[in-house]
Amino acid sequence: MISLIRSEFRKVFSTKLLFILIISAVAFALLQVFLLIFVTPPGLEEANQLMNPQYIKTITASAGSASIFLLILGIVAMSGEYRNQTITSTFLVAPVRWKVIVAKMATFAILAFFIAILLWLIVSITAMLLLTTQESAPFEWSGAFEILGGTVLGLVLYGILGVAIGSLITSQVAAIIISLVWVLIVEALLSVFFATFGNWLPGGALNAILQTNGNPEAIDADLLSVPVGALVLIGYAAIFAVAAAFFTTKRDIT
Amino acid sequence: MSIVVEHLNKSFGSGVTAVRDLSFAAAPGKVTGFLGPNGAGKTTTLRCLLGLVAPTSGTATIDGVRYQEISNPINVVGASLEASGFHPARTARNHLRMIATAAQISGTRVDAVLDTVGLTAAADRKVGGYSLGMRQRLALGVALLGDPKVLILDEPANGLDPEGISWLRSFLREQAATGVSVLVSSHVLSEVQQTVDDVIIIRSGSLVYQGSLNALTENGPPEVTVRGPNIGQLAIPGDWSLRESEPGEVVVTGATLEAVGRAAFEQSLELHELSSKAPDLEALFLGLTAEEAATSEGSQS
Repeated sequence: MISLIRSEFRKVFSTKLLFILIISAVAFALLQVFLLIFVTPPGLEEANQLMNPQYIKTITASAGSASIFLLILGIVAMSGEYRNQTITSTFLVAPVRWKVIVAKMATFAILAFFIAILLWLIVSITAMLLLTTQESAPFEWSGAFEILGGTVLGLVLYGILGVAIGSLITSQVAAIIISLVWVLIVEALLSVFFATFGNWLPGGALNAILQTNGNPEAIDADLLSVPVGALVLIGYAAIFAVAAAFFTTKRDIT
Repeated sequence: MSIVVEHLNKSFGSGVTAVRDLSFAAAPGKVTGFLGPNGAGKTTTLRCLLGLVAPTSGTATIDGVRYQEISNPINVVGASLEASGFHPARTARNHLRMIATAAQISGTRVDAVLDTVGLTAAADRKVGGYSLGMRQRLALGVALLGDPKVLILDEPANGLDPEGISWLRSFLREQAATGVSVLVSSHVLSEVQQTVDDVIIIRSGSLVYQGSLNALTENGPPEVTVRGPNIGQLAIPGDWSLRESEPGEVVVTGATLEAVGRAAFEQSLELHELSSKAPDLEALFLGLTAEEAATSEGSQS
């Protein structure tokens, strides 16, 4: 298993995919930080000071909202093996296929761990520097630290979910489109119209562990508690991982 | 190590039966040609052997076990398959390393294999810029990584230039000489004719011939060429057949050289040539696989 994971690392570091997605994730998280600091809705300035801990948490959670990039990374890496037909070589080396799935998930979980810490640092330091220009709210590291665990867990689990989705939907384009439509449209709409139900979806669980729904005004947002959110998200990742291993083992590689 | 396929059947969900009750064996120390037109089920059979496709029924084993049951299989079986691809942005060296790492094969072996298949100079170029011939060499390199005792190669000559084909020929002979079982598929008999000891010919997923190439030609009807000024007047018994190949020359099939000579003598015909040759292998092959060849011609390139 160790050699399979090392092989997966070789795969990742021999193409530009990882690099491109990290850049995109950093850009995405920073954009959110800028928007939250400079384009906050009018009338919120006062509230900012009052609700400083939540405001800082919401800003720091921008790192965790880049989870979607880990989802894409996992999807592209896994379905890319079918797209480029390297899956044949992969399964010739390791014909017990679930081991390949587990090795890939482990690889992207490890990568996600480091990417999460990197993102969290970049987001926190940027926010700290930017907030010194805004007299309103000093940066509180305690708030940022409260989000660190959720950021790591969110990125790791979304990376695993990505690998699982990439092995369930092996057409790369379809896998990406379906996932984006789900995250950006279906899940968003369900959360708006059926908030309670939405909380139990992967996106809702991610919000729970990041302790924000992305809106600094909604401090009373009715989210799942952090532990429950974590369990729900772990549950989704586990179900998808088992399904991925099962269907990959059944599949004819033609 | 022998490759043994027994009563193999494979139907795909779409109702297509790719392989029907196919049985054959490929022996160690021999190069066995696995022949049939495109779409005959060669690739499906090889993929069943390699654990990539699950047989509907029957077995496909290497040294008595299924591929999935071999621990660290690429050290035992080397395979190159059509439609096994490469990431276009990855270099050849990195592609080999990624496989070598998974199988705990050293970097030195990667360099050695690159050298064997003649890709050392191009090893650090992206595979996306490779010609078909170079990709074939890389695929063969992958097969050789584990220094296997069994080689299963799907259309390895496709895209190779004449020099490459001649290199492949001698390479496969050398491998067989060291006791490796080589199973090599092709849809063109002439590609492997000079390389193989035995042939397995399939059509529409079923076996039509298994045996040595020599036996195939010996069993075929020999052709007798007869030339002479009045040879067009040669009368033959009903069970022979005769065609005029050019003015003053006919080709007789279904009779021995001696019988044709006697017939000409008895008919007092002047002869300038009387010779026999083995039947054309390609013609025999096409005859055996005719049904399929007609339908798949369009897809051959």
